[in-house]
Amino acid sequence: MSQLEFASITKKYGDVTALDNFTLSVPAGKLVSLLGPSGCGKTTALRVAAGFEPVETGRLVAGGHVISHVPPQKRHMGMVFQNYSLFPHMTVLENVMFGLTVRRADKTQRAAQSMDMLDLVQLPHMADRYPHQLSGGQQQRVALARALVFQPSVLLLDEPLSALDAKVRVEVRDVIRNLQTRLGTTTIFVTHDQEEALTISDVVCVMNEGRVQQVGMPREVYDTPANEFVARFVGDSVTIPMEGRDRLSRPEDLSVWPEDAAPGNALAVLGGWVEGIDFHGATSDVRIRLHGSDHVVNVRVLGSAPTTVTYGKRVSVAVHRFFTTL
Amino acid sequence: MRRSRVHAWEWLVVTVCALFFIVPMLTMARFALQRVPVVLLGRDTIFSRWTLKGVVSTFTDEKFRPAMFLSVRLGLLTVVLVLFLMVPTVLWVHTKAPRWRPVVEVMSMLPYVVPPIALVVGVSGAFRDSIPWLVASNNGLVPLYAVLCLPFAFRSLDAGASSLDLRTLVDAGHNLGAGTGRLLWSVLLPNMAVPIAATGFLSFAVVMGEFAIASLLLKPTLPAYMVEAQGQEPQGAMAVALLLLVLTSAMFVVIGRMNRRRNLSPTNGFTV
Repeated sequence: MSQLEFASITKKYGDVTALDNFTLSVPAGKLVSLLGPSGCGKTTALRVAAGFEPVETGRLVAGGHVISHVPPQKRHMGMVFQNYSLFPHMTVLENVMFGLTVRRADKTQRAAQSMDMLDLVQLPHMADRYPHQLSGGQQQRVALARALVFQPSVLLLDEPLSALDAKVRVEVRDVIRNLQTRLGTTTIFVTHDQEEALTISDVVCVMNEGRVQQVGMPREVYDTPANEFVARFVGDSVTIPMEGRDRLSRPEDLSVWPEDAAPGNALAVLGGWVEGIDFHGATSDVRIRLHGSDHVVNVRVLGSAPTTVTYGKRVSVAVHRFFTTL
Repeated sequence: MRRSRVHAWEWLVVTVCALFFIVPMLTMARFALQRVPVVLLGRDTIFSRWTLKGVVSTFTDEKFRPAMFLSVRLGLLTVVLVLFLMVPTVLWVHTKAPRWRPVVEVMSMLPYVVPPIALVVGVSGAFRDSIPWLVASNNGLVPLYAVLCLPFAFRSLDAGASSLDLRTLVDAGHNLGAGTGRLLWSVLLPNMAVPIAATGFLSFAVVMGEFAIASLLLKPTLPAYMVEAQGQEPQGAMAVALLLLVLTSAMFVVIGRMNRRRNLSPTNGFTV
């Protein structure tokens, strides 16, 4: 059953169309990521859900009720913002309690519930601190606790990890996912980071220019992209010129071989020479310029490139899979 | 080595600035509190004939107290009016209508370009027929003073609001279930307390020192009294001027301290 439904929503800012007939069903208890480049409308969609942007065309339905015109304070949704949005004059505990205080919950109950939530984000010892005394990651965990403490119908996360450094980002991402799974809160997670979306989501909605490009499970979106935009935006893609047209594949679906030793079961074998090798630690990308064309293809190998693959060497590239949907 | 040279430069600048500020105050103090002819006020007479006579005679003058109370009353009323006008305006500009900010900023700068005489002639001319009681009353100065305070008020409130990312705080508050009143009372005003206090101090200081408009409209405010008293008891007038300067400086110290405490948080950036 769908907890939140965007039904043919169009949102314009002057001549710019931020959402163009945007339709999406967010299943109850699932984490749905809105993934797309900057300006694709993902944050607008989230702000529409929160009630910060009025809906001009279309409907927003939550739990079977149209909520398009319900003000944000009555939508009962929790939101975590990109930039830290904790109230600077309140302690961590007061921040977390705010939603319950507004709802006039019993005083002892609201303190206990807030402390429980701080326990869940592993920050009970920070209850008396002020936001400026916390790191970025801690502030976002408190913001998460604050957004969840009043048991919202939907949790909205607006690029909550984008201001954090790489290590903390992974930590907070895990906290979000664990908490979401444990509490079963329907969640919309906005991000432009495809790795983040693939890791954390039950469902990924890829967007571009205000339109939905594809909705599916992470594996599905990665393996069978609906169009070229999705193929290029989600994961790395390689363009391979074949029989007068370009076909798309993934770097890990290619392999590199000595010039005259390509495997017979490959879908295609192309000749080229090694233009460069980029070492990434766990993997390496071998850049190969194909003979008779300007195309450079990346072949991803585990660890370092084989010692036989060196700069300038003539090699064969074997293609093991093309995107069948394109 | 290089660091200590930088340090020395810093101290030099601070010392020069401090002297620029303190020397006139000390000079005023000598003029106001020493019964020594001005031409003899030198190093030799630095400890001679200090007295509070001039000050006491001014403070006991029958015109002084009413003038003082009038200025304080006008100052307080102006603070109330300025805050009443500018706090909602700045909050509105920062949360709902950021594209109007430059317009409000330019409008707030008008007192810099409109001379007091134009303000007085324009306003009194415009309102003499419709609300003559206000133009005639001493309280009629309050709206004019509020206009004079606009540049300081806007800048100080705007800087405070800019450092807070008010829009996100408003969104967060609404999202958590707070209505506009609750949001204003529990989130916005507490976070704007320092800029609001600074605006109040600045506006009060402007009113306590304003002479041109009061003089043009023949209102017996403290600065107008001081100019009048200068002919009869120059030492007393100077003592009052010194007192005002010390009080205003003390206000700025208070603002600075509040500011420093606020700067401990990441939401700093407030300036006056």
